[in-house]
Amino acid sequence: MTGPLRGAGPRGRALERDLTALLGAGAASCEPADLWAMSRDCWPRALLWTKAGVAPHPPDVVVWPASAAEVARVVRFAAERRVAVVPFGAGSGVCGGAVPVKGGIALDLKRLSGPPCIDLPARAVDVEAGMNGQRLEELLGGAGATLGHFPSSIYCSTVGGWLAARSAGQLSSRYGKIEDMVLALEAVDGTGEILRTQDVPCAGPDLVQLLVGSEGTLAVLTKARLRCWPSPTARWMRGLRFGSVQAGMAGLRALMRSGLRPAVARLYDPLDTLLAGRGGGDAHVQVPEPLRWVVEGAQAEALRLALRAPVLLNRLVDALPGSSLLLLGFEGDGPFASSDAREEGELALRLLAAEGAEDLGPAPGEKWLANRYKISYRQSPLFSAGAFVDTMEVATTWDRLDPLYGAVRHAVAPHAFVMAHFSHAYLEGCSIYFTFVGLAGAPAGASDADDLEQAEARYDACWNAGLSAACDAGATLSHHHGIGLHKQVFLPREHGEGMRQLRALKQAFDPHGILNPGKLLL
Amino acid sequence: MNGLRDDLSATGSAVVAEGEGLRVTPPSVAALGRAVAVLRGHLLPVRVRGNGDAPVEAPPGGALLELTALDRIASVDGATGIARVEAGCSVAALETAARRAGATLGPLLPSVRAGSVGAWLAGPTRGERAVPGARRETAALSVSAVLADGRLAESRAAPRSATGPDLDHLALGGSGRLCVIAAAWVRLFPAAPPAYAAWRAPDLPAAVRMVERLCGDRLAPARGMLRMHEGAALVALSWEGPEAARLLRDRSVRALGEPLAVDAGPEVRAPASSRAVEVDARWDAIAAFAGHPGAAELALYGMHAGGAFAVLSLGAEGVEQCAGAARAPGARLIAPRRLRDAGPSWEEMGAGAAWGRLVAALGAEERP
Amino acid sequence: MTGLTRALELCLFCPKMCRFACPVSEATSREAFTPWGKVSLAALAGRAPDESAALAFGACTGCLRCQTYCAHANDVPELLYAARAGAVRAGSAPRAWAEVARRMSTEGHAEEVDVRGVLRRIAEEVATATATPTATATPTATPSRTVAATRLRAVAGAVTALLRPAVQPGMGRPMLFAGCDALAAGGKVVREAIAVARVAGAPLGLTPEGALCCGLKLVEAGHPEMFAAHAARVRMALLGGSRRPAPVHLVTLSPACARAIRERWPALPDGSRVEHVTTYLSRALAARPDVRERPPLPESAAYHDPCELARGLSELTAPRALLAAAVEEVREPLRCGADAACCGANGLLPRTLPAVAAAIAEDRREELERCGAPAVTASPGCAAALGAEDVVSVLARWLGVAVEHPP
Repeated sequence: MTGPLRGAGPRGRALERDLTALLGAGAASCEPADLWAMSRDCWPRALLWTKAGVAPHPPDVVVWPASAAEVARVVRFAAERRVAVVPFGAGSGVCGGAVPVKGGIALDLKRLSGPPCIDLPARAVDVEAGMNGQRLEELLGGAGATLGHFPSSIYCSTVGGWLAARSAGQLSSRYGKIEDMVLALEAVDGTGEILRTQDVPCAGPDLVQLLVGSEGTLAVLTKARLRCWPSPTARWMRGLRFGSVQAGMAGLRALMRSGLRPAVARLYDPLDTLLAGRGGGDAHVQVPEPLRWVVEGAQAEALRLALRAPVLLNRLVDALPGSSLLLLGFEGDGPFASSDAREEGELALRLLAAEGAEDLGPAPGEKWLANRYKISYRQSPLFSAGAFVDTMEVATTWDRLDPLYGAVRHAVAPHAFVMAHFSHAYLEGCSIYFTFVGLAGAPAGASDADDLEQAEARYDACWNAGLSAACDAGATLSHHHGIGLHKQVFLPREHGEGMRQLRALKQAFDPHGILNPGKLLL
Repeated sequence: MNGLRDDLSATGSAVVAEGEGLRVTPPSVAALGRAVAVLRGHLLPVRVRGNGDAPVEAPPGGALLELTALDRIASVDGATGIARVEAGCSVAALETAARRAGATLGPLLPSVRAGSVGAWLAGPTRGERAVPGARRETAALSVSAVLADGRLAESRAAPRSATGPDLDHLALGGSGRLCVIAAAWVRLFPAAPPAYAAWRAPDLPAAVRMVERLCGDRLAPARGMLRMHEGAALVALSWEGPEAARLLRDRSVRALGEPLAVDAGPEVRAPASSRAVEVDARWDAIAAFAGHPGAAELALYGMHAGGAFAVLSLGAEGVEQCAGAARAPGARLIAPRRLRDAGPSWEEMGAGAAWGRLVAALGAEERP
Repeated sequence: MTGLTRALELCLFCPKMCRFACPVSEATSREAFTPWGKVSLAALAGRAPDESAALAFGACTGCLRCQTYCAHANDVPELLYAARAGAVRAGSAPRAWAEVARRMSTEGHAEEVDVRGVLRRIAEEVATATATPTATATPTATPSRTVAATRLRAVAGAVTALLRPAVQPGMGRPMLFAGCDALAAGGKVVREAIAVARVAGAPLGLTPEGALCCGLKLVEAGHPEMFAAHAARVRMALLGGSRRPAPVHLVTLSPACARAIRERWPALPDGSRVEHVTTYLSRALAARPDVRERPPLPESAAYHDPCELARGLSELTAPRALLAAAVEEVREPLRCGADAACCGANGLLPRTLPAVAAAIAEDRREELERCGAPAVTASPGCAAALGAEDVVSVLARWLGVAVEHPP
C-alpha cells in the first residue's frame, strides 16, 4: 500500500478484537481504509496534509456503536484502559475537532440514527445524534415540519456534530442557532454514565448549555430533543444596496432591533458583493481578472502567482466601488403565509429605506436561495489549484462590529486575500464571516513534505494574524465553527480565568481525560 | 470564627455577626473576590443578596454576601442594546437607566423586577426572558463570575459564541453555589409602546390554550393576564417590539377572532395578587392550574412555544393553597422563595457524580 | 490534468457534500464508504489498492444520486469502476467479482440459473403464438379516478402524442432485450412485456440467444477488457455478419441495459434506437386511446423510480403515465423522481456486500410501505430486491394478459 494508507498496529488489532467482543461482529475495524477515512475532518489545514499525501493522525481503531448503551460500554472500556475516545459525526468540522491526535478509538456515531420522533403539535422532535442533517429535514418535511437549521454543511453533517460545535444555520435569525433549539439532551460522560436532561424547568446550572459546544471533550452526545416548527409555505426574498458596508451594518442593526424576524439577513462587504456575481446593481463594474481567479479557482498558475502578493490583491479590492449588498428574506406558514412574509418584508424595506438602502428587487435574494449551499463546493477547485481557502467566523456587539471588520481585514491582508459577509445577526450584535484565500504551494499531486511545511506556515501565519486581531477587537473567537485543534491556543485569550472553569468541567465529566484529548486545551 | 472575621475584614469588606453566621459587605468587585476566597478557603456555605432582594439570614456557620454596594451601572448603550452592571444593582434601577437610553429589560416576573440583577441571573429563571420568535434566552450577554479562589472569570460579550461550553451557565441559575456573579453585560430591548388586545374565553383552561396556540404560531405575547370575569375568562395580552408589536397583535386577532372592545392595557398591567405564586412551567401544567376550581388569575411572562413563567393566584386563598394547586409535572415553583421547588436536579439526570466532582474541581465544597 | 485526476481531486478536497445521498454510506455509516471516501481511496491507493480499499470501491450501487448533489457533476460510479479494474489488476478484488468474470466468459451471463434456457423457451412460445392478440378481459369495476391519476394521464397523453410512433419504419421489428435479471427471475415479466406490447398494437420480437446480457456486470466487476469483448460479441449476435448492418430497435426491461448499450457498447448502426420498455409502451398506448381508456384496476401503487431509469435515462414520465392509466392512484414515497432513493440491487453490491444490499432494500421497502400501497417499479432488478411488482406486470393485469405461472 502506498501513500497515507497504513495498516493497523498491534494496539489497534487488540482494540478491534476487544471491541468486537464487546459490541459484536462488524462493530469495529482497523482496516487501513477505515483508519485513513477517520484520520481527519474538513479542517483546511488537514486538507494540506491530504494534498501532500500524508495522514499524520489515524486512530488505532474505529468503532460503530448503535445505541447510547453501547456508547456507554465503549466509554467504560476505554476509561478502564485509559484509551482516547474521539467522537465522530460526519467529519465536516473545519477546526480539526475530530482529528484523533492521540490515536485511540474513533467513535463513529452515525449508527445512532433511528427514525426521529416528530411531535409537531408540541413543536418538538427527538432525534439521535448520528442523524444526517439533510435526511432529518427530509423526514421532518414529510411530516410538514422543519427544524429551520440549514448550515451550508447540512448535506454532510449530523445532529450530534451540530450540538457538539454550536452550529448555526443560514436562517438563524428566525430559528436561532442549534443551542437555541435544544430542549433536552442524552449524553454519555467520560465515566460511561448516561446523562438525560429533562424538557421541564430544572434546578441549578443548565446542564444542556454546559454540554452543548463541548466538542466531545466532556461527553458523547447521543440524542437530543429539538424545537421544530411547521414548514414555511412562502418566502419573500429581496436584495438591497447600501452605499458602504458601514451603512449596511447600521441598516442590519436597525432591522434586528425592530423586532422583525427575517429568516435571511446577509450583508456582503463590497468585494463579496462583487465577486460572488450577485449583481447588487454593480454588474457594469469590471472585476479585475486576478480577483476572479481567486474566487473561481480557475487559471491555477496565474492564481498561485497572484496569491504570492495578497497585499496587492487586497489593494485592488480597495479601489473597487464600495457598495454593499444585503440579502433579506422572510418566511410565512399557515393560511396567510404569502401575505405575512410580504407584510414583514415590506415593513423591513421601509425601515431600511430610511437607513439609505436601495431596493434591488427579488432577483439577488432568489439567486442566493437557489445556490445557498454552493459555497461548500468551492474549496475543492481552489485546493486542487494550489491555494488554500478558509473561513473565520467571529462575533461581537454592534458597537464593536466595524472596528472588528477593519482590524481583521488589515491584519490578514499581507497573508491572504480576504472578503467578508455578516450572516448571523442578533438584537445585540452580529457575526462576521471572513473568507481567506492564500497560497498553499504546488498544485495537488506535485506537493511534497517541504511544500507542506511552507503551506502550513503560510496558513498558520494568516490565522494567527486574523485571530489576534479579532481577540484584540473584543470579539469572540468563534461564532459557530468551534475551536477544535485549530483555535485552541487562543482560547485563554477568550476565556481568561474561565479556562479554570473549563478544566473543572473536564474533571467533572471526564475525570480520566479520555474524551477527545488534545482539544480545547483539555 | 475570629480568625475568619479578621481575614474577611482584611478584604476591605464590612463584617458583622448575624445569627449563627456572618454578614459580609464588600465595597467593590475586587473586595468581593477576596471575601469569596476567604469564605471558600474555610469551606463555608455562602448566600448572596443584592439591592431589592428580600432580607435573608446568613446561613448558620456561613456568610451572607451583601452586594448592596456593588450597584454601579457602568454603561448603557441603547443603540446596541447592552448595559454593563454590577450584580448588586436592583433590576428596577437598571430598568430606569435603560429607559433613559431608550431601551428596556422587557416584561419580567414581579419577583425578578423587585430584586437585584445578581439574584435575577443566579436565580431559578437564569435571567431568561422572551425574545422574538416564541423563544426564551438569558438576558446575560456575559457574566463576570468570582471563582472560589477569588479570581474573576469573565466571558466575551458576544451575542453567541462557539468556544466550548457556555461557561456563563456555571453561574446562571446556580444561586452562587459554584461561583458568585459580580457583574454582567445585560441585553436590552428597544423601548417602544406595546400593542394590546383582549378576548373572552369560556374558562381559564381554554384561555391558556389560546395563548399556547399563539406561541406555537410564533405570535407569543410579551405579557398576558388571564382572569375570571363575569363567569368567563378574560384574556388580555400585550406584544412588544417597535415594528413587531402591532403586526403580532393583528395576526393574533386574525387567529383568535375579533377582540373585545376594551382597553386591554390596564388589564395586562394590573398588579398580580399578593397571594400568588410564581412558576416556570410547561403549558400543560399551566392549563392544569387553570382548571383548578379556585383558579382566579394567571399572569404570563417569558412565553415560548413550550411554556411560560406564570404568576398564579387562587384569589382569596392563601399562598400555600395556591402553591399546592400550582405544583404539577412540568411546573417548578420559583417564588415565593420559601416555597421554591428544588426541581429536577443534576442527580435526577444521572449527573450526580459529575456534580460532586464539579463542586470539588471548582473549590466550592462546603463543610457539612 | 486529466479529467480523471481532476475528478478525483474534486472529491478529495470536498467536505463530502453528497454523503447523505449515497445509500451504501448511509446504510453502513462508514466514512470509507462515502463517495468521498471511496474516490479518495482510489486517488490515494494508486496502482496498489489493498483489500480494504478494493472493498470500498465495491461499496457503490452506481445509483448516481451523489451526482445530483455534486456541483462538479462528478461521476462517482465511473471513477469507482476504473478503481475496481485497478483492484482486479492488483489482485485485491473481492472474490465475487472473479466469479462474475468466470461465468460471463463461460456462460455469456453471470447468473446462477440457466437464463439461456429461459430465453429459448420464451422464444419458442412467441414463435408458436398466433399473430393476432387474444381478446382481453375488461375489469368490471369502474371506480372513481383520483385527481392525481387523472392529471398524470392528461399530461402523459399530451406528451406522448408529440412523440414518434412506437414502431419506427425502416428499423425492422422492435426487439425486446430481456436482460439477465428478468430471465433469472423466470421470465414472467418478459412474457408479459411481449403480451402487453401486442395488445398495445406495438408487438415486440425477442433478441437472439446470443444477446442474453448487456455485459454491464463485467464493468462493475472491474473487467473492462472482458466487457469490451463481450459487448462486441453480443452486438454481432444482434446485427448479424453484414458489413453494413441495418439499424436496430432494442427495448430493454432493465434500464441499466439500455444505458449500458447506449453509452458503453460500440455504436449501433445509425438510426438505431435503444430504449426502456416503459418509454416504448407509453408511446404505444398514447397511439391507442381505445386501450388507454380502459377503466383502471381498483388499486393504488407506490412507485419506486429505478435509479438507472430516473437518473440514468432521465425517464420519469413514462412509467408514471402507464401506471396512471392502469391503476386508480399512483403514490410517491418521500424520496422520488430524480431524487429517488436506491434499492441496493445494482453495482454488484448484492454480491460484494450482500448484507449491506439487503439493508438498503429494507430501508427503501419501509419507505415505500409508508405510502400505504403496494410497491411497483420498472426494473426487474429493483422488483426482485424490493419484492415489488413491475409496471409491465401491472399493465398485463390491467389488460388481462398477466402470466400467472411461467411454464
